Amino acid sequence: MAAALEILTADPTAGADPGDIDAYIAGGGYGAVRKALKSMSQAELIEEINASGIKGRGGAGFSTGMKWNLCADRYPRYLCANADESEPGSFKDRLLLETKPHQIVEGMIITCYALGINLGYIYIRGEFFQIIDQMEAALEDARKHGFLGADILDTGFDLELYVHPGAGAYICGEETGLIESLEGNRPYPRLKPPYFPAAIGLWGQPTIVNNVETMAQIATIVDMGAEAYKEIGSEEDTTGPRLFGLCGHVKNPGIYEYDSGVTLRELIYDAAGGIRDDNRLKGVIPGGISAPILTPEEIDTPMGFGALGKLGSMGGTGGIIVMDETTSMVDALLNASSFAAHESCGQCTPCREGVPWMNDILRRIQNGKGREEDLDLLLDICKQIHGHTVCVFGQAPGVWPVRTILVKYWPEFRACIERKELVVLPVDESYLRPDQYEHIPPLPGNFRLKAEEADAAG
Amino acid sequence: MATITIDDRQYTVEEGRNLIDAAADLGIDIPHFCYHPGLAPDGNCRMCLTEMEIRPGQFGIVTSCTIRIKDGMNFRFNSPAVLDNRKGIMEFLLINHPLDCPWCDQAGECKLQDHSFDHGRGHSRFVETKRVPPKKDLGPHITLYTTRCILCQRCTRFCDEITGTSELGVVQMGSKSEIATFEGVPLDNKMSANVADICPVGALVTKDFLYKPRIWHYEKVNTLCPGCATGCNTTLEVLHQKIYRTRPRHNEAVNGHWMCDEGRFCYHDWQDADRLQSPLKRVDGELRQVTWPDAMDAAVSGIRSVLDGEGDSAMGVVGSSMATNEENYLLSKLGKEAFGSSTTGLNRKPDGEAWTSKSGFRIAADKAPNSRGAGDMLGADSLDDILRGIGDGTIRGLYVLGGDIGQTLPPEVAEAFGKLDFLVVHDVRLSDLADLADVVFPGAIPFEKNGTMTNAQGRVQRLNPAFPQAGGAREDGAILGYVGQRMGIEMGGTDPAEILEEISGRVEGYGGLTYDLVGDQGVMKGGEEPSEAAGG
Repeated sequence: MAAALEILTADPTAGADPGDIDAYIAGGGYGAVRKALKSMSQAELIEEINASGIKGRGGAGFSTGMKWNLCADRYPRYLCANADESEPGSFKDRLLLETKPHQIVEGMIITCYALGINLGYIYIRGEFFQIIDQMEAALEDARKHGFLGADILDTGFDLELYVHPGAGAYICGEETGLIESLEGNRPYPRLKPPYFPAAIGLWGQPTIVNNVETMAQIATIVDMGAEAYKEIGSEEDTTGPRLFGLCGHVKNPGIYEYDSGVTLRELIYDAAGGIRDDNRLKGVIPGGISAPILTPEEIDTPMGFGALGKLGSMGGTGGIIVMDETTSMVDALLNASSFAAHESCGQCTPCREGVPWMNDILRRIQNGKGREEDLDLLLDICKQIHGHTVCVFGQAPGVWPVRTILVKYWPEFRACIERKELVVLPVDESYLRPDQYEHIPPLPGNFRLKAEEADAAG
Repeated sequence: MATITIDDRQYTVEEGRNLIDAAADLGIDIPHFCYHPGLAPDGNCRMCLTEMEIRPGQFGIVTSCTIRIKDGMNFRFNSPAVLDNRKGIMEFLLINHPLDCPWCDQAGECKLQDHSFDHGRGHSRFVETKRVPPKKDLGPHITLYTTRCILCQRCTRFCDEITGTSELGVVQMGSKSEIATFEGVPLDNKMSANVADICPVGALVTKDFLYKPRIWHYEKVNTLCPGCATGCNTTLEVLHQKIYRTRPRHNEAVNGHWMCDEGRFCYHDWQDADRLQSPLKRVDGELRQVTWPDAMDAAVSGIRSVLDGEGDSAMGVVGSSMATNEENYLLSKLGKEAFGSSTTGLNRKPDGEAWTSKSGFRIAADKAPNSRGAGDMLGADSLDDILRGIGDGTIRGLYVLGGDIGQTLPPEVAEAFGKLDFLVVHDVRLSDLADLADVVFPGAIPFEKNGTMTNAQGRVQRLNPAFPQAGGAREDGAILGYVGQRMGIEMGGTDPAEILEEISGRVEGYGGLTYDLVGDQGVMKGGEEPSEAAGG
């Protein structure tokens, strides 16, 4: 069993209110800011983050150092800390926002200093209204203590940070959607290219959009030093501590901190105490609803970005949704699909029309009115959406859950259609074995039945 | 220029041009809905996805509408991935689209219909319930058939980019998205009806062109808008000698892809006007309907008596900024050669409101289409000389071209004209001007005319007739020619093309102009380049 970590989950205010800046400073808080601004150059900081090997914690697992290096050589530049956490099954940003507001502010100050940014925003999901107030207060306190404003710590570095309440849509978490929302527009994700806001972002200027957990981790990296930080986890799976949020049918749901080498089995059965009522596991979504589902045979995988990628799934947000034997996979998929249908922004045709259509079909199957051709139709709709949308929404929460849950739990869907009612098959009969389906790289979620090939050939 | 490869064939196209436009230049149609050449690309419909070589040997899906041509680009327009996507997009767009083509006014010019025929599947796989949002009254000219909308957002971008008024936006999310106005702020701007033109489906329709005959029945006539001195290029749709619709015709140098609502709908005023049905002659102080020979006799004898009694310079001519260059030229020639008169005038309309859109589209303050051309032909751009002549008694008679349905004479002009011994007028209805005349010839309205006009920029453009002159009216050029003949001078041909050739030899700035040269996009007089394009 991998050992639980206590880095991001440590309590720096020693039991005081997490927003209490004096308690935070007494516990060593804002040390990273002092260290960075007083003793490191911008180039040294960037090198430090590069050397740490950290991958961004927003879900895609993109190297933070690389993102920073893509920043176009133009000023002003902007920082947007993405706290629009709304991926179903994910609640680790919320924990950090509630318990470590100042660590996030620290990370943002360091990032801005490293990249020569004088204006930053923290875009917080609109539904987190309490957090929005707390964060405003934290920024005010930081301002009073001289960590924000003009000439911070007598270094000549000026920085203002603002809280921007989100507009209440999942798509606002897509980085270009977030930027549009910040500019006061509908959060329609921007066309690519340009691929990175680091080239053209907020108000057309180079903009770094980083997840808030990444921001907190930046402070940790500066605190610990890249050398020590790198010791945790691995380069391929991401270095540094990871927060895993377990929810669903586990005995002790919550946030657990491990390195990325911890296996899914360890998280479910050791950290979270196993399945409720000691039921059997039926399936587990390893990183938020978009992350392709894993069957009970696949849970010995380490939870790193690289390891999960090899299985055709992804690390995602680390929000783990555990489903036991009582779960209907048709229900589960319909739930995921309803979310996607509701949250599709409506900008581009395939996602706007295709995702709700799949939702309609799944609802029909749940109601016992599925038709023989519906499963193939669903896979065909997936194909028509995949890769044809403006942003990754259409495929991540839109297509990947349908494609993977449908393919892996094909027998249960077949049973629903044949018996014309919602059927929950015994676990062992409900899913296909890994040799019956295959993943087509490079993207996650691109699964197909091997039988399909045989059918086509025969 | 750049050399690009499309489906393994090489083509030379303009560098920096949008891929959809570049392909269209080559005669290759890349199906699309949201892209419009007058608007910034938006890439939302996903119909135009094609494959482009991103790295050597590796092709990736791109939106054609956002690609700007660079040398060496390599595309696949007909690969399985591209064709599959088109089929998929068509299916997605049609699942919630009503099949109400039989009573949709867009049928026949609907991109969804056309692309469905080319790229769609023959049957629907959709067995769920279609969305049926209610239709909306968006403003004075526009209705939204919400069910038909494919959310390409051309209309919202038009209001953002062209008029800058942003009345239209999208409300709701995902499949519930709808085009809408803000509550209490209707789609009411000077160019609002353009959204119906650019709507690729039958969602946005003008109230003016609703439940009208099928679009394929119309004869299309390329002409000019008579509404102001901008001279927007238009296409009229005509059936049974009636105009049903005016649409802007693309001319980058003049109006771009657009026209204003006032100009678009002004055909009603002209075509519904109470037109003069025959010539009129003043008998015992009253205007009476007479035959053409009677009127002609009266005009000629009246003119002669002025000339005989008061001398050559006693007859003046007044041109019209509603008349073509050719008509004004013939009038000026009639004055010089038959009346021996050098006093000319132009009866200008009082200026109205000028307006420029965010994108630079202009509505001119001068609400007549040909003040500049008429001025060039007559060598006068006001009535000053004429009024002075009447005032000092040297001008005793006038030959006046009218032709405006909207105009009323200013009191000082009416008073001066009232002092004349003899007044011949061409007009289209019983106006203030006609009311003062001794002889009135029923002339043609701009929609009945063949000729050229010169807009405010100095661009000479073609006017084409939508239908023959109404009732007993005649072309003004023909009337002038006949009067000249009766006055004993050689007027030459009255065919506008021939007159333009004559003009090109005699009027400064018009040298070398012919109908062919003017073409359907016009040409700057004197080879001047426009100071600023009015289009946008």
